[in-house]
Formats: sequence, C-alpha cells, structure tokens
Amino acid sequence: MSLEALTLIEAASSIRSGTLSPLEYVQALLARVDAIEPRVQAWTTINRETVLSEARQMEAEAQRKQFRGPLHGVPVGVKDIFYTKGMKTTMGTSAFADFVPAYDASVVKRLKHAGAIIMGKCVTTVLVFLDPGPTRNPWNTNHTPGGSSSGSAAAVAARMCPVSIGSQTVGSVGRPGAYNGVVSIMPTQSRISIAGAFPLAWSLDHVGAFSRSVADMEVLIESLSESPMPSHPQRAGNLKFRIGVISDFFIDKADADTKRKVEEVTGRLSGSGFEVAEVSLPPIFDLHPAILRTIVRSEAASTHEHLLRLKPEAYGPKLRDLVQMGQLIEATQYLRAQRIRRHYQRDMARLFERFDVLLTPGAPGPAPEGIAATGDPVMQAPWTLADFPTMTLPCGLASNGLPLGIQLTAAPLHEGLLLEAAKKIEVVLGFKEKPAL
Amino acid sequence: MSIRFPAASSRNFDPVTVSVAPRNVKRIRREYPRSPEFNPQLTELLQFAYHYLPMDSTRITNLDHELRRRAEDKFGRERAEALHNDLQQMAHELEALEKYNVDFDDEP
Repeated sequence: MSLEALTLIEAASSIRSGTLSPLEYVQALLARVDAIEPRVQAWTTINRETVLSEARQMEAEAQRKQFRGPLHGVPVGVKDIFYTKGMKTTMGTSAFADFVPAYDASVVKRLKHAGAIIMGKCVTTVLVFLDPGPTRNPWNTNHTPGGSSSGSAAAVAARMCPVSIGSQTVGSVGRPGAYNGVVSIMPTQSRISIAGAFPLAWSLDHVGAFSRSVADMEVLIESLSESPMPSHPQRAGNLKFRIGVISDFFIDKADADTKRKVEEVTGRLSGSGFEVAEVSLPPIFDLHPAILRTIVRSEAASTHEHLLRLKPEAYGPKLRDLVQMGQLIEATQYLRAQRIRRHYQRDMARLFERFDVLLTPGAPGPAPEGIAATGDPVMQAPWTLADFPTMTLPCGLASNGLPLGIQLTAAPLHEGLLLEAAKKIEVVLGFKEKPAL
Repeated sequence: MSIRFPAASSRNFDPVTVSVAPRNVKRIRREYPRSPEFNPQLTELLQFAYHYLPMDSTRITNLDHELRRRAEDKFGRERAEALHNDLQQMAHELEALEKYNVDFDDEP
C-alpha cells in the first residue's frame, strides 16, 4: 500500500512498531501535495522545513521508543481559522493575509500534545461563511468541495493527510464530509474547545474533524476531547442499535439519487441486525430556520461589525449581507431566539427516548457543479442548532460518480455511542471508493 | 381591539402555570424579591398579553417597514433596496419567533 493511503491508525501503529519512519511518511505526503495540490488547492500554508524538522524530531523519539501520544508522527491538516503559533492564519481573507498568531488554539495544543505534526493550514471560505475559497472537489474538480471546511475535507479525500480539523457553525463539516466521500464528525460544542478559533457565531461554532474511517475518528476525537468520552456498555452486548429514520423534511429535501440511496441503506441496516423505524419531528422543528438565522445574523454582526467598517474589501458579498442584516436585529429579538432555542433543544432531545441514533441524508445530493457556491447546509442546520453530535459516512456514488453520504445524529455528549454505532454501520455500508486523482 | 379575559382571570390567575408546556414537565417557579412598588395585577396582565393576545394582522408589515427604515438609516437607501428580499425574509422569521410562547420562568 502506498504511504499516502495509510489511515491514521495504520500510520500511528506502524510508527510505534518501528516499521514506518515519520520522516518518510511526511515526505510521501508532501510529494502527494506537490502532485495534486495545483488541481485541488486545499492548502493555504505548508511550512515544509518546519514539518520536516518536526518529523525528524518525531523519528528520533520513536527510535528511542518515546511516544508523545496516540498521534505520534501523524501529520494533520488544520482549518485556517484555528490559531497556530508561528504559522500564518488567514481566515480566508486578505485582511489577515499576514497574520501570525502568538499562541495555539486549544485544539492545536491538544493535537501537538498527542504527538501530531501540524502539516499545514487548510483553505476555509472567506471568514468561515458562504463566500468560497479556491478549493475544488477531488472527485471532480469542476464541482465544489462544500464549505466552509473546504480544504480540510478535500485534503483528506485526496490522500494528502489522513485526518484534518474543521469547524461548523451551520453545515461546514457535515456537508463537505458528504461531498468529499470522507467520514466527518461535529461533536457537541463542549466536547472539544473552540478557544483560539476565529468565530462566526460563538454560540453555534463547533470544532469538527475529517478522516477516512470511523476508527480513525475515534482516536482523533479521544485525543481532542475536553473530558473522557463515556463508553456505552449497554450496546457492547447483543442489544440492537435503534436507528430512527426521519422521513419528513430531510428526505423531502433530498434529490432522487440520495432518496434511493438512503432507502437502500436503511433496508440493508434493517437486514443486518439494526432496529430501524421511522420517527416524526416535533412541531417546534418548523421554527429552526428562524431561530438559527436570527442567532447567526446577530452574533456575526457582533463579531464583524467593526472589521467590516475598517476593511470592507476583505468581505465576500454573502458575509457582508449577513453582518448588515444582523445589525438590524434588536437585543430582545436575539435573546428571544436564544430562549426558544432551549425549547427546541428540549423537544428535539425527546427523539432519543426511543432511538440511539437518527439517520438522515448527509446532503441533499452530491456536490453541486461549479465552485461559486458551496452547497446547501440544510441537512446539518437543525442539529447544529440543537448542539447534537453528528457524523457523516460515505455510502455510495451518485449517477454522476460523486459520493453520497448519510448523516447520523446522537443525543448531546453521546459521541461514544455515536462512534460505536457508526463503526457498525460503516461495515454494512462497505464504501471503498476513492477519487481518481 | 377588546381584550377578553378567560374565566380564570382573577387575582389567582396564573398564565404561566397553565401555559402550553407539556404536562410531564415539572415546572419549578422561582420567587424573586419584590420591590414595594411591585404591582402583581400589572404583571398578570403582561403575562396574559404575552401568552394569549393574537398577533396584530399588520405586525408583519410593520416589522418589514421597521427593518427597512433601520436599514436605510444605517446603510442608505440604495443598500436597503439591495437587501430587500433578505429584509422581508427576516421580518417573517422574527414574526414567527414573536408568536412562539416563551414562559417567564423558563430560564435556567
């Protein structure tokens, strides 16, 4: 197997056993970047000398059987909104083109502590909103990779790094995950600290991640988690996972390929020992776009009002509209939205009284053509608002050859259960395709 | 518009405890220190209005106009015009949120 195709677990265990040199691994990935980056454009910054020097250091430590943590010697891509000490962090805008933070974001600190090598910074959309960056979808470069974590998802899909870090305020992890045929996760907000990341809407911003297997994701999330993830012994035995399939809204928003695929997947899960049943959404669900948009607009206005006035040229048109709309919302209206959000979270949480995880499409369809827009976050928005952890898993290809994904959602802070279910579902899905780059 | 109070609208009427919340949710009411000027009847009236008064049929138009006026004041007429569709959508969304009942004792 070529080195760039190694999963995180394969690479980390080979480094630990002494059969893989961290330096050779990094060199292989950098060679992969050289070969395909001009077509994919997933990276804003790669400090080669620093990366190679880190790899040499990791190699020396590995030879002495000293390992910093479970990610020792594994290169990781980081979305270009997370502060990295001594490395440019541009937020996808000219306003921060030369900004070099003096400290690491919390998630970067945790990665380093676990032994990861920060390979570079991955492209984000302009200031984490909908105005796209240059990244293209590795499955077909005429299509968007989604956003805002465009580069993070594309880099993992294109085998330029085994795992990467992204962030989601509405649908910025799940959507690129589905569009790029990789595994993605958005944990509960308090699971992984967002400190040191440039905000869009702080009460909705979440750290997220991409990998090429659920097992890799589990190792990564355990390394980043602010508190230990509880295991779920009730699912360790022969108890069946209970999967709720939400037909209304989510399936209605999906295209024909996606509907067919979700139907096929639920049939296969049903025949593979899972308990699958339909579930209906509570009435308050209808309010979720109003709650979400009011909060995003208000908080984005608070974040950007000053900067937009100082550097209007640094803004894309969509973010400028969002900020200016937010400037018109009154404090009482914002607070009302936050209060209703709590009702929404309470009512939506009741869905888990009967189910372990909920299943929906990962996106309305495959990645749309063109890179002028990043696709529709409609499948993620309800869960980001609820702050329920979600994962997307690739489940097949659409008729145009682009990947399709399913999305799994669990109750707040139940990432352990979500990962456990996802591991079993991944086996049933059996997705082995990869982009032909 | 005349306000019709329900039969229970006496001094003991408490719209909070008879709100639309699900029956299986136990409500815990908190007592806050009250100032000497506190008027319980006024509070009851406010609570009643908050829960039961129908939305004025012109409210959506008013919200739309209000947002448009604020946009013109802040960004100028031309920019407000460019945001026209977004303003209309936001007026509808804010109206939908206004219609939703949030209890006074719902705060954590």
